[in-house]
Amino acid sequence: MSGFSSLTLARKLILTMMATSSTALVVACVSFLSYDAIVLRHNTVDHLHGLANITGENVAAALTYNDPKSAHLVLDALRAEPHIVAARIYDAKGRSFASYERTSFPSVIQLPEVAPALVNHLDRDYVSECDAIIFDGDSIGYIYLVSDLQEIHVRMRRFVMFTLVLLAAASAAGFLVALSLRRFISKPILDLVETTKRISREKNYGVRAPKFAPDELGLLVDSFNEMLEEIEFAEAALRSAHEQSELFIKSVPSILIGTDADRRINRWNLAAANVFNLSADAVLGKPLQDCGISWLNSTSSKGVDSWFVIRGSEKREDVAFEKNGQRRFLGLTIINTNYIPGGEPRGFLITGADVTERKVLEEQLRQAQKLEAIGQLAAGIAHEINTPAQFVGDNATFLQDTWPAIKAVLQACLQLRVESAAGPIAPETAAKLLQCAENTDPTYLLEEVPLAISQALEGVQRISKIVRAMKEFSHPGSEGKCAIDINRAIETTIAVARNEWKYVADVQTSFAENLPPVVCLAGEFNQVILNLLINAAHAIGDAVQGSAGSKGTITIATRRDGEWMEVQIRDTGRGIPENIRARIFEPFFTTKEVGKGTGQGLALAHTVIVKTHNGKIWFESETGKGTTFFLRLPIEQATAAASS
Amino acid sequence: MKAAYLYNFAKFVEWPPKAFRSPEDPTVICVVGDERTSDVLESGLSGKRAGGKLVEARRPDSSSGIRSCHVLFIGFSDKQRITQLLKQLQGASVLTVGQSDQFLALGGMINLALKDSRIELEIDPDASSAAGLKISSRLLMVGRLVKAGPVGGQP
Repeated sequence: MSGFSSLTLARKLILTMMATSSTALVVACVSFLSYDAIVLRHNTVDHLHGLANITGENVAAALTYNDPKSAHLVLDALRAEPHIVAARIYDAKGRSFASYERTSFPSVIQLPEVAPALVNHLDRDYVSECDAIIFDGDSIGYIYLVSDLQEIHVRMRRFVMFTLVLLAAASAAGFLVALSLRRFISKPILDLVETTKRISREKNYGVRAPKFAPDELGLLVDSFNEMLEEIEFAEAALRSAHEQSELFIKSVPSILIGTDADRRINRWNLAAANVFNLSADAVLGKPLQDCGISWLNSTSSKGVDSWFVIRGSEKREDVAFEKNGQRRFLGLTIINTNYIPGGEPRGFLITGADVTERKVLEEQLRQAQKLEAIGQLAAGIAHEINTPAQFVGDNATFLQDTWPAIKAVLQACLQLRVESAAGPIAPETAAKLLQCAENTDPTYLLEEVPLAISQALEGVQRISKIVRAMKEFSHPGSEGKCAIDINRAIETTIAVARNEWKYVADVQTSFAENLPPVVCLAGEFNQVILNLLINAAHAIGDAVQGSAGSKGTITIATRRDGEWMEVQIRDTGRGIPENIRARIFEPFFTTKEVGKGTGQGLALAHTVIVKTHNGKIWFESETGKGTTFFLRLPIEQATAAASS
Repeated sequence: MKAAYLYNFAKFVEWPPKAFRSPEDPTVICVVGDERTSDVLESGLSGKRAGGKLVEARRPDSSSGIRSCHVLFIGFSDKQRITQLLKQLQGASVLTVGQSDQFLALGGMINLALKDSRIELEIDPDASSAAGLKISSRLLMVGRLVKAGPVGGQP
């Protein structure tokens, strides 16, 4: 049957017609044949019966008068009946009386010696009949006749031959009729097929199939054309929607990279082409790992492939790659499109941007913030330096002023030595020395000059201390994390910021001894302490404003708590109002007047402590009494901690 | 044996209607000159039918009695008596059966000839048809046909 179903419609049609006509013919012929066979057999039996009766009557006299010879003659007359192959007459007692056999009668059939029971027996080739011979109401003997069925067989053969010829003729006729009819059926279908081929070849849904007749095929063509019209319409709508979305994607300034489930790139927008300096043609079909982008291992150590093991979406910051020999950074979001828990991913979308410029700006901002802190301190530091510089200058001036008197004494002393070496000392010389001594007030000088010198030296020391503290505070040249002495760092910061607090508060320190060195970014840590210290000073300044001479206290304490190093910075200011406590770590949130604060201080502190150092920062505040900030840094920095 | 032959002749021979006074009349088989056969017939025929008619055996004693027979078996072989009997039957439809060599030549119709210890029928169809009798062809086939012609002392 599959052989049939793969045939062309035209062939099927022809075959169907031929099969139908042949089947009808065969059924009719077989019916006729069967009927004929049955009728023929019945006729044969009837004929045999009649023949038996006639022959029986004809041999009645022979039987009656016991004359086998004339019985033979009668039986010989059966020669005229070509189908009678054998006959035998039995007398009333069933003994054989006379018999007849055609020469062609096969010896396999034995005529019974004794009259058989009254039968007519029908087998495949022969039919036999045994009848009583009734004469004038008496049974005077029996006749047994055997007829072959040659006639039936011949007739059947002829019939079959005739049927076959008829079948062939009918098939041929059916074939010709089907051949001439098929153009009404297969032609429209072939045209339809040609139309569909043209459509898929030209992608032109404007093509229409021709209609031939208003039959079912015509209906099919109409439906097909209707469908085409709808497809054409839908396709136009789809195309315009697609064009629009393509335009959107194209004009998105972010990188948009699509991949299939096998992570091969199938979408690469203009922004991606610009960022990576690779055209879409160069990367489509390739995996992101080796599409021509030279990824830098420092940021994608596990390889780009590890990005795709995600559930919904995941952000990747600072992905580094090299373009034109330049190290550049990306901020990316990798999205598993159509994420279903436990399901296979169907594709990925990567969005993002080249953040190199932003990173540069951030770095610049960080430096600027550091400079800003220093700048903020500059005036105070200048003042801090100025005071000792001034009394270094004053003392130097004093020494300069006293120098002529001392010089005169020393010159007189020199003349005295020369004269004493030559002979006796001239009285004028002694008088002059005395005069000098009287003029210079030696008691005063002996007291004041050493004081002036030591005061100058102290001033120089103070200046160099401040300079050293500034140097330490800003930690130039140490970008990475290093182990530092926290107590010393805090002290330095206090020193640097001295001018910020000294008018409003006293600073008390309560450092735990034997604190282990803590690994951190020293510059950033110092800046956090500075910010908190300045905030404390400002808080106290607001509190003591107007009450001249009164000062608050800033207490800075350090302690170790297990794996943590804790710093407390307590002020005696007014405390943080409750309604803003939740917001103080927000960037750009400030209560200070314009120009005094940028709102970055606490935000920066939060970022540095929490994000950069995996530490904690919190505060306790009591309105009117003051605020305490707590910092905690892990003593052992995890090696995998994020670097700045 | 001869009785059965005689009885069977009633089946193979057709008499003209005028031979019976009424259709219900029996077929009468008469025997002369053979007492034994006569006895057998009389005992064996009671109630038997042939060709739809009852069969009756008689021993005729007069010439008119002879003429009312349908089958007459002449048991003796004396030519003169046979000739005399046949003469009396002139014009009557009586099947004459004999058992002597000259019976047919004398004008008889069927002779039961003994040949090789079995009886063979000799039939002169001309004689029977002259008497208005129709002998069945089947019987004619069994018997040997003899043309006696006028030689047999026909008057």
